[in-house]
Amino acid sequence: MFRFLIRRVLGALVILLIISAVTFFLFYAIPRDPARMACGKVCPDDLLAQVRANLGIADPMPVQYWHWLEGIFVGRDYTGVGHCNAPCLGYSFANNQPVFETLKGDIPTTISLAIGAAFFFLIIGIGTGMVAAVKQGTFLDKAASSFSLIGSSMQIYFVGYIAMFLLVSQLHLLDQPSYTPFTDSPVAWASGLLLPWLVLSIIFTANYTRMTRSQLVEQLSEDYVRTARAKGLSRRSVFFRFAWRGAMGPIVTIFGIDMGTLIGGAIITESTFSIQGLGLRAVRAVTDSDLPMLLGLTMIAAAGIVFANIIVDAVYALIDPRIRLA
Amino acid sequence: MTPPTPSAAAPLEVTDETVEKSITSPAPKATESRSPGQLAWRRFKRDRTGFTSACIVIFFFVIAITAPLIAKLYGKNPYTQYGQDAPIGTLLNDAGFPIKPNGGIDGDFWFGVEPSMGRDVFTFLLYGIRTSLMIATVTTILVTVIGVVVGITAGYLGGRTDYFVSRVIDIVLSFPSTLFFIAFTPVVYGLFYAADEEIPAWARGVCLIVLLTAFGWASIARLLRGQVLALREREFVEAAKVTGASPARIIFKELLPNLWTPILIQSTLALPAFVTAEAGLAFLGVGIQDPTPDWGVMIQRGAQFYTDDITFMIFPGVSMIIFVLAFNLLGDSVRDALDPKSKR
Amino acid sequence: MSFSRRNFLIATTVAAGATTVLSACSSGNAGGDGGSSTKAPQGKAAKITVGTKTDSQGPAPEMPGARKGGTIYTLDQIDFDHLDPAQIYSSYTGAGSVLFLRGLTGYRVDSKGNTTLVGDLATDAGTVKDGGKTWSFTLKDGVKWEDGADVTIDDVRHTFERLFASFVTEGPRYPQGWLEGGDKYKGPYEGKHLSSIETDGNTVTFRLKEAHADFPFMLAMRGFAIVPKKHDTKKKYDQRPYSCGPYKIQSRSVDKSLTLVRNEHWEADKDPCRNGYPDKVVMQFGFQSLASTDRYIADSGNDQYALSLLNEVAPERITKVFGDATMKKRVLTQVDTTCYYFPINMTRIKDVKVRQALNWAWPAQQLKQQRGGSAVTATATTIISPLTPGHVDFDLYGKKTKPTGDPEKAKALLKEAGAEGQKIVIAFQQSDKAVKEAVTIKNALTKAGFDVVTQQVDKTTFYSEIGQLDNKFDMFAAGWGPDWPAGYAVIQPCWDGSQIADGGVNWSQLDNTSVNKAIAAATAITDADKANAAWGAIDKQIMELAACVPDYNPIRNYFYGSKVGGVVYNAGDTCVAIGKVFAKA
Repeated sequence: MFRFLIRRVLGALVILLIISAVTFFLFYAIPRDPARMACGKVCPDDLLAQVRANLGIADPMPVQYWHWLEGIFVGRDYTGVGHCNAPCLGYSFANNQPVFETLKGDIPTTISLAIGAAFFFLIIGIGTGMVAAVKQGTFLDKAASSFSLIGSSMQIYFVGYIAMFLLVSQLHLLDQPSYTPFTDSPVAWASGLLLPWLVLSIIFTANYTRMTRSQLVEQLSEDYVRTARAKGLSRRSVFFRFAWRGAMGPIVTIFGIDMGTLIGGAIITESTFSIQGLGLRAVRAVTDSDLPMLLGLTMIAAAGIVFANIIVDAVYALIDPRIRLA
Repeated sequence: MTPPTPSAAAPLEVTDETVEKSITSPAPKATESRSPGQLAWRRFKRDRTGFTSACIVIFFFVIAITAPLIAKLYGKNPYTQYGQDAPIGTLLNDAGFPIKPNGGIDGDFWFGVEPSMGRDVFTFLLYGIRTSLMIATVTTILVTVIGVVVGITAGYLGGRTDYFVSRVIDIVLSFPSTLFFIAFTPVVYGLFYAADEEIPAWARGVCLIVLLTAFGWASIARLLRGQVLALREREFVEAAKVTGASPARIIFKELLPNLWTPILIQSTLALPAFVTAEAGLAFLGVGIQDPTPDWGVMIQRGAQFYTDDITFMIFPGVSMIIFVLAFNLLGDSVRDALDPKSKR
Repeated sequence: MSFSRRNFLIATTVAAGATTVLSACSSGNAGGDGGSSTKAPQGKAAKITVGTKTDSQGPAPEMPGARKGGTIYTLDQIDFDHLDPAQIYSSYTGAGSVLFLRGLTGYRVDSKGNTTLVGDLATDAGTVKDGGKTWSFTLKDGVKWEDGADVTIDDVRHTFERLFASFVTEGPRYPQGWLEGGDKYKGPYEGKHLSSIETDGNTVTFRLKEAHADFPFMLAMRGFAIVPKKHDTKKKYDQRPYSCGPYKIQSRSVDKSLTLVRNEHWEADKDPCRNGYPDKVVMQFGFQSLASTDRYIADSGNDQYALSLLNEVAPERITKVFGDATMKKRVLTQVDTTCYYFPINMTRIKDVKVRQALNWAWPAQQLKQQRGGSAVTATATTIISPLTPGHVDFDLYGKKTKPTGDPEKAKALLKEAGAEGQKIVIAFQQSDKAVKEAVTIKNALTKAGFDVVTQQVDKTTFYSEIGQLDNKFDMFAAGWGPDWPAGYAVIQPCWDGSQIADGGVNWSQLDNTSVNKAIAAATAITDADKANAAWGAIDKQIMELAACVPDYNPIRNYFYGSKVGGVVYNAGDTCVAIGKVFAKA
């Protein structure tokens, strides 16, 4: 297990390094000029050159990339601004703050969105999946399946607005989505994010309903379940102690992937509900041509995806001893 | 090392059954014998949900292909700004919203008038579906071809090639693709067009297809690689090798026929996914741009007016849900027909 | 103050069409005949007079019903881009930082919203000699920094000298061009003073290359607020500026909040511009305009004490807010001094008839409808906004009589010019809104017989590209907000032939001898009424040459909570005067 983890983490770091290099060098192919943004209303060419130097984008590309890598491990100095401690992802072109500090402020929002949504779609998805599996072939089963199928065909950028129109503008049942830190007020935190959570869970639930149902149906027909039943174990304990355990592996897998998606791909969700987290930050970094911010975001998102994969594999192995880690 | 693929594709052992079936040629049944394809078609015809959804999907493709014809019969086009050309207060008010209730639906404008721009919603939607389906279809074909070629090559050759391809797949799948799309679409334009040139609509379409393909091929390639790895060890492939068959023959005559099922299933799942992905990008303002009609662009426009004119958002949104739902159901039915034993 | 910076700022928060809720182009009422409840506010031309020595003494005019104490909150989309005055150009940052930054001159606003230019740290709005070439200001006695030290004349000199340092890149650059020897000076950090800034006792004297009657107005820009020499941390000053105003910075969390508490060393009777009623001001950032609007509608808790300096009534809620009498009372509506226009590249479109044809064919009403109707924009027919002194009302190209454009007239002009099918390349700043406007403009100009090519240029490069003299565009979607309320600040930077340069803002590259002469003459006129008439005449002269197509003036609708009192508009800072507001009991 330990060797497996070490190998996977090393592999992940190599992947992240490659992604950072690709992002960095592609950025310079963009016909954009971040310096113009940090230059006044009237910006003669010599002033523009000065700004470029101030931003540190006058150096050749490989040199800049090297400084960036250096910053992550040992930190780096910025003339006139001060020292940026490791892990230093650079200073934002747009707000002149360390990227890492800015992103640290956005992470709780995005995580809150993901965790709350996960809470709902896991409960609803696994719950309906179980019901469907136990009541196989009944009306309940069919209703659960078709409901989840319809849900999975919806897109957040449509359902999100419809939900806001109906529940917020028309019926005034929920608040306009907003983010309040949990530490400030747990109630405001939950009520502000409730609508996005529900909409996300409608869309994500389907996978879990289907997966839970098919896994349980399969497990319940396995020999060991029959043996356990024959030995006199109650239906209930067979269900929860054996069948459920066997079914969990694939569910953990898709859950890991979905969490990666929710954290790494929060752009559309946050744009729809206009909640300021990593996703909207990314949108803003793109319009500002804020390379340090963009790189930082890419790295965080990629790391989220890569490490979610590793965790999933490890958990999978823990749950299902048949899987050997190699 | 490869994480388990969470795709809804047929699990391995199921494919093996199909594999077996095709090798051992179908068992003769009474007097007539049927190929697996015929059997699948019979099963599919009996599946009422599948049949209905197939009809819906075909309907969408038909209206997409015949959009110009329909528009001609209907007498409007998606480009003229009817609402703005009419004097203020006849179709749109001072703030650009339709005068008539429900988005200005009437006998002349079946689906209403677009707020502020004043175009005809019905023809705009028809043409929008046309654009989106065209992009999604081309992308699906490209992704499938590339995925199949790369997957089979890696799986068949194994060794270093396999290792290398797998790592590339790992990297592609680890990219935060949405972020990448919005950040780097301008790069692609910048490579081909100077800043003072107008980027033609077709170039935007091509760019979208290229980017979607660049990130789309990896998952299908990974899946097929796994399938080929398993097939490679089987007796009939060994036998072919022993008889001295060329690699090309092994790939095309022995392996490929056994892979049609997962390929077909994957591509039916991929097409609606690309329709929604393209719309998602349009929602973020990347990709197809006004005045080119597009499904996603319409939803994005609708999002701006949703509190005051929800009707305008309903048409593109609901039609997209119907299309995606029908296509997903169709995908399930295709799988059921091809793999009757698959459990889902 | 500056439109384009403000536009930059707004632009940066609106992704390329991503956060659709922000684009201020959609609003209004669905169904019905519309418009009646959202009647266009009438812009009253600002008459900003220069105050006397008495006006320049504190305290600031009391607001009726004002109460001392309490906390005022703000709700805005984005944080201030800079806090170092030398780097401040955006009108939003300027309006907010008035609470802790003070310059030699400033704007005194009375309870009716009448705005006067007065001496803020100086005893008056300046003494002129040499027909406008030499300006002197005397510092008030005993104005103190937040640590209790006096504001000295050395601080004043240092403030203007540090503008020349290499790290200062974003602020206004008038002194660099106006002061004698400014082109060669490299800043005070190498130990040299700029000889054209002289100090004597408590008086500072600026020697200018040419006469500038507007000099005291320019000094009122927040970019020229005074920086203490002792605490100048150069580039780092941006993170923690020193205050001599009623409040000082207690804490700051970038992009989230800025908390201001009382500066104990501030004395009300030495400040004519700020009342300093609340004990505390908490500025909160990260609220989209829809979110802030909904909070004002709900009007609960601390939001009752909140106002916005940048956020306006969200387009989606205009109908609702203006339809409710009690809510409507909580909105301050004001036409902006900014004029959005399309300069026409004179080096490429040389025939005046073609340029006039563009003006005649313009789809003014369609564009207005597209932007949300008369509640949010007013059609512009002149370059100087109705709110700016110097505005003269005229409509040379029938925009008011034929608001949808007159393609026939345009066609006739094109025929006369022998330029039927004239190709026109129009550059836009890429945004969702601009893409839609491009469609409408293309449709309208095509009807008039033009061959239109529209180009979306990335925001970050837009102004560099159209600022290049050899650019390949015929027209650009640009605009200008004057840096101070005067005709000079509108006309001179953009339409004087001497301003033609790469990276400059005379985008149309207009170099007309009689216009240049008129600008030079008007610049030196010290009598306000005469100067205003002169600037109005120049405006008309430029429009006769059809060097641009005026497009629109935005209308700002500032919403605030029910317990905020004393909300008036500062026509000088072109924003809500936050220094005057108080928290009702």
